[in-house]
Amino acid sequence: MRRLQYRDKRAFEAIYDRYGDLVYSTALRVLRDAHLAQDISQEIFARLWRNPVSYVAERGRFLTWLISVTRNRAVDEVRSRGRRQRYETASPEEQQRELPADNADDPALNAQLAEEARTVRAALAGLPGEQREVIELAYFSGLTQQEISQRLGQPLGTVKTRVRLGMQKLRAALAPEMRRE
Amino acid sequence: MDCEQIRDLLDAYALGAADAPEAAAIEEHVADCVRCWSSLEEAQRAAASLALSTVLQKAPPSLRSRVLAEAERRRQPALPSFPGRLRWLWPAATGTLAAGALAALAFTLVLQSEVSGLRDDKDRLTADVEDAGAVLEDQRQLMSVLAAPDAQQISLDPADPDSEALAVYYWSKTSRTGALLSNNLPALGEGQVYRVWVLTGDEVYDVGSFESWNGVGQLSTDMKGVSGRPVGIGVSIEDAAGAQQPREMLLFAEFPR
Repeated sequence: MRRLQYRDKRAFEAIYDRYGDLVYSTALRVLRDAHLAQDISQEIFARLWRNPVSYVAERGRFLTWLISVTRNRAVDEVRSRGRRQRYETASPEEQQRELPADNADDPALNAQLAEEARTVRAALAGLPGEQREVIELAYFSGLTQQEISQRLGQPLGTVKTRVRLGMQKLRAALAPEMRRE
Repeated sequence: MDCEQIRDLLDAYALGAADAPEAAAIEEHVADCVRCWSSLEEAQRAAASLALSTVLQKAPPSLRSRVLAEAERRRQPALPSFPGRLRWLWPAATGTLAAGALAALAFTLVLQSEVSGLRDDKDRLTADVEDAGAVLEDQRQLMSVLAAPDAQQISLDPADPDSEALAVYYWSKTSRTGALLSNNLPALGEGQVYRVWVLTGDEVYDVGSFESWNGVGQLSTDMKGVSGRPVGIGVSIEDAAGAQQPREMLLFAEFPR
């Protein structure tokens, strides 16, 4: 990142080559539109090139920042377009089918990211379906807890509890990965 | 809210699922609480890791070309300059911060007249005409902002309570344009400019720079490149060659929620 701050184009290319697929896949998961996902990915990398210090080391890990700005930008796009996401109305069975397999092969990810991806998938797969459902509706569909409550016809308090318990388990499962960072 | 209540909300906030009042309470609390800030970072890392659960799709090769071509095209914005014959007008224009639209309209009319006059002497004043045109364009944008139905005014306060610097930022949320008018600015050193920054929740954007005359200066801003809700705007003194981030804010204001 330090090299990128001095506008080193080769460093920028290396960052794209490492994270380009992940940024694109994250945008695609939220937007469900390949063209829009490309546009948003391009915008995210342009922002990084234009102002690399918008990421600062004090704010934690670069990957966390990059994914977060991608997801947030994609959710903003969904909201601004008023698009209804198929996932929002998908049944739990459909959502279960969409959950990637533990051994999903991602050759583009480097070894560390691939290991982390496996851990995350295993942690998500280990959550009770109702907890995984609210977490994914929040993160990938950009719904607030209130909106999730209305969509699922569940009390707001129930949704909040599911979010909290699910995230607690997720954090516990990811703790060894986080300690390594 | 106390720390325990805040921490109960951090997971939802990290997922982007907290409602607006809760999000505001969290942001206010973590700004002053290191321990809750640390807990929030942990929650945000867990939330961001969810993206890794997505089956990785290979981005089209054309995206790589587009991204790198875009990086190639990007350049720092040109610095505005101020033509000698127009300098006397600046205090008249920017001294009327509170008057706003009427001052801008009058100033624009004067500038139009000035530009016409300059054009009569093409050989000697071509460069001045171009500069005056740029200033006039600034004024047009200011008028456009002030005329917007949703125009808002934000007063920037000096970071140093002893400073007499002041500024007003007019902006339109719908057109995402704005204009900053400032007065009593401290003198610049050699090779320095005033640089204007817009802060969102997770980024700092350089939206342009300006010089001053007798402590008075103005800048039109285009916020279309700013993604997300702006939460603050500030002015700092930086090297004219460019700055990656603000050193120390001279003036600052938060956008109204």
